Amino acid sequence: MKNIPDKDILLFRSCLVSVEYPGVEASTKFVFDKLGIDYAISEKQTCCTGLGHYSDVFSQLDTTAIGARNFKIAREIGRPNLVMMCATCYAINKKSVKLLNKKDDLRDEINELFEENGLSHLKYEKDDLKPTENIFHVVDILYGKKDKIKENIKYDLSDYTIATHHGCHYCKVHYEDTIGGVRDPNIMDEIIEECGCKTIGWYDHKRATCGTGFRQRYSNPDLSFTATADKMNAVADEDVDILVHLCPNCHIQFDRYQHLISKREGRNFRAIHLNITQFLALAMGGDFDKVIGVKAHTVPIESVIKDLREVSK
Amino acid sequence: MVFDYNPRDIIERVLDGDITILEDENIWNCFYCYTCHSVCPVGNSVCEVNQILKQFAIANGIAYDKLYEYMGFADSYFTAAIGAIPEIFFEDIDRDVPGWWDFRQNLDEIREELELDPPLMPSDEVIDEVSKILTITGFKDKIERIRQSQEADL
Repeated sequence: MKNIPDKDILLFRSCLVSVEYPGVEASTKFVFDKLGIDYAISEKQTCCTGLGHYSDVFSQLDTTAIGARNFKIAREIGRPNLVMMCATCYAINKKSVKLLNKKDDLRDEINELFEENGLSHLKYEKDDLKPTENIFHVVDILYGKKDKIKENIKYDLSDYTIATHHGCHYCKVHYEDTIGGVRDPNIMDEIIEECGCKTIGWYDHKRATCGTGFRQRYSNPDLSFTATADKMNAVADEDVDILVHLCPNCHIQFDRYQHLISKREGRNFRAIHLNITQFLALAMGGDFDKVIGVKAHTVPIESVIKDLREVSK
Repeated sequence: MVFDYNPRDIIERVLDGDITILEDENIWNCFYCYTCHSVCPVGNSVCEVNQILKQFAIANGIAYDKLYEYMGFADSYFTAAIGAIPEIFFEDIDRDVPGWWDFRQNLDEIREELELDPPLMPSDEVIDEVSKILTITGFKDKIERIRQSQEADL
């Protein structure tokens, strides 16, 4: 098992979390505070380029140069452990660190561009950051502290039928670093178990894409929603109440489009969609509006979570 | 819907040096889900090959039209250092997602209730630095070429 940090963390802001599900950021802070994680946010850090990169507007050079700037900010404030709320930010930043360390020509090209244009303070030296030791997703940090979760649980969510959707860009891109399985991903199932709940575990299409496909959702929606419908049908076959996510791209695809895909499939899909940090924050007693951010959700959280029962001590 | 995306066919054509792959619509149908990448027994990564093919296509001016809808993302990042869903898609989202537009109108209020800071808009200093980076990597020129092509197509 790799060493998972609990301090010197830069909590990397996500463009989609910020404007689509801000409760994910509030819930991450709430849960990190409960678990004693040392983290900070920087107002200088910018978006990983995600949607632009995977819609092919940003080349690898563009994305890696932006990455080098963000990595320098993390090091400057003494927080070299980048922790991402979004699976795509995680995949992109880890890839950029790998490239900057291994591809001397790319690193030299970026450093020369910085040097020649008054940006030499942003230069990246080989191994400034390490992909395995410094680049994490929030789920990794939660997993590292999973022994501390149980003592912070206030509400019993074990009566709900719970399933997990592990984002492709967490599990499949840098699979050598993925905790809890790639072909049968389980990191979130293990974290949820620490809340006193049992997920349904494996289900048909568990490891399949949410269907976003970046440009596919916008430019090729029929193709995108066909993939999503496969997964929504599989989740409905298991009569799932709560589908737990780790990526805002997937979260959007399921929560925002469930209504549309229900009509398309002629089937009433009823699961609510929570990020893993929102699930934990809920179980730890976080306020619906002030922590979970339920107003940002399209499928109402209250349609499933009608009342909360405190855990018996 | 006809969908004949075949990762094996793409790799075979690349290995054969078949340059016509750059003009094949199928390379644009990849989801970047990395399933091929994660299971390939010989370490191929068709999705990353696709990504490189698309960059070749763009560099050769073959596929500018594929990027027209995403110019809003480029503009937002270049001028405001913010990654954002392009506004050109807002009408579709508003049609397909009940309550989304109202939610977006109330975003500041929701963020305030969640006590989130710092604000969404980066400082001028950050924006200047990011714009400079994207100028020296050639991004700005590329976007201008694509926009000229888009205007010529209208």
